[in-house]
Amino acid sequence: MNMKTFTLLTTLFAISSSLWAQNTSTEETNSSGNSGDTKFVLTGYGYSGMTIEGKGKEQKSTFGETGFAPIFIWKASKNLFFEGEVEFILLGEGLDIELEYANVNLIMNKYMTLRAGKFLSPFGTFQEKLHPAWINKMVSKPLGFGHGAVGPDAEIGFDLRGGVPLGSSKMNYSLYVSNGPILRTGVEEENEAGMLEYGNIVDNNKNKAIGGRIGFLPFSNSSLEIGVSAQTAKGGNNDSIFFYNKKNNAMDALEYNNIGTKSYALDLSYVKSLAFIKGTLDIKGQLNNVTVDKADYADLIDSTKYSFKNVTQSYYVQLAYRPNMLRNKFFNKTELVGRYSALKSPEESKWGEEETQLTIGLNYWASWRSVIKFNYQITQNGGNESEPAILIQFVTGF
Amino acid sequence: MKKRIVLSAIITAMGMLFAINGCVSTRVAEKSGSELWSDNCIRCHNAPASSVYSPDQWEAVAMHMRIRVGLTEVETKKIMEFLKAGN
Repeated sequence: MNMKTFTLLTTLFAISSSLWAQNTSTEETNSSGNSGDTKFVLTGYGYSGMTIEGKGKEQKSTFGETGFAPIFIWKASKNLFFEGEVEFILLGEGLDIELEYANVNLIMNKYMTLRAGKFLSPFGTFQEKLHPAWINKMVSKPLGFGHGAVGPDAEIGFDLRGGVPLGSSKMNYSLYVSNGPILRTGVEEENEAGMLEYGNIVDNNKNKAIGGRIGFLPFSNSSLEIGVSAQTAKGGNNDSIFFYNKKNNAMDALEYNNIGTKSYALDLSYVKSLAFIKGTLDIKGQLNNVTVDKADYADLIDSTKYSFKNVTQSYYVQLAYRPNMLRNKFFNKTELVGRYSALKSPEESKWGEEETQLTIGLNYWASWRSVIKFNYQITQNGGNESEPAILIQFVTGF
Repeated sequence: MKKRIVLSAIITAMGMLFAINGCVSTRVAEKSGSELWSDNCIRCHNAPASSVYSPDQWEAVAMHMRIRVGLTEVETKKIMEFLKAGN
């Protein structure tokens, strides 16, 4: 841990402790004796679906991804809270089990909560708030927002966050220190050299990632939220990689200890029930950008080294309309959704690609958290032919 | 040219949003629990009915949502009381 991170952590801790002490003291005086009662909720969701891909004779269909995600919520006292989610997914030919998040939260005062553990990255809004199948209006996630996303998807560390009223507006914020990303150097998987790995349980260096998000809601009806997120970290460590360099006819060493990463995201959300369209309009969008410092990587087949401008970007825009003010009980449960997403990763890397995707969907909401989704999706990979797919998913919350 | 079109579209969209919401100036703290419930839940998902959880469970769920989406303390209390009262 470097001096800058240590100072930041110490300052955060000092401010938080002081504010918590003041808050606790006030609450103890006013306490009605209910503090300390444990409130527990077991909630979550399950989903399954079907995918039809390709066209003509090459078309194939399969009953698709099936998953189950129990969420455990404990309110231990007025100020202490725990949340955890485990996701079980049938993927490919096996069962994938993942601890999505598990964190302890301490409410320090009106405006500040300190949490520790594994938490979803407050990098934009999709990963933290919108990705669960019962919330995501589409079957698939936007390009660059699924597993192997552009930008962090989970952190292990400390996070200070809260909501602040500003008259008829309000804002929310998050500031965290975490293990951060690990730079893949190509030793384990040559084709992944230059990629970043997130949600690391054990850090590969003493540097800690610092990141956060600020969201601003200008209207008192909270319909519009504009957010800016950023993260900075070092991805490499002190290990050197030695390889035979044909050009020099000698062994060469590659160093990654100073390779930094800088990421930012911009997000926008507008959700409003509007009488003149007899329904709810929901517009969402997010842009993610990740830059990794230039580094040399080994090409073990050609025995040469190569480097590239390592910038990856993805974005999506989504528009949904649900005529929930109609009297007809069938139509007021339907929802039309359209989404465009794009992903661009470094052309000169071994994992570079440029993809765009258009998805249109029709949802039927059987309850507030149970939905059946029908999607038609076209994915265009570079200059290749487009790949159409029909995706169907049934999700129910519990 | 493309940048100008995108910029114009963003400015027009923002103008429309401000026009639609321009008359809304109530302070967040002055809003009722029912208004805050209807304003905030739909930002991410459909708004749940009060019968979905028991009053005790609503306390835990409200704390979960306060931390996840950055609700203010006043909003959280009002929404929770509204949902508990509807049970």
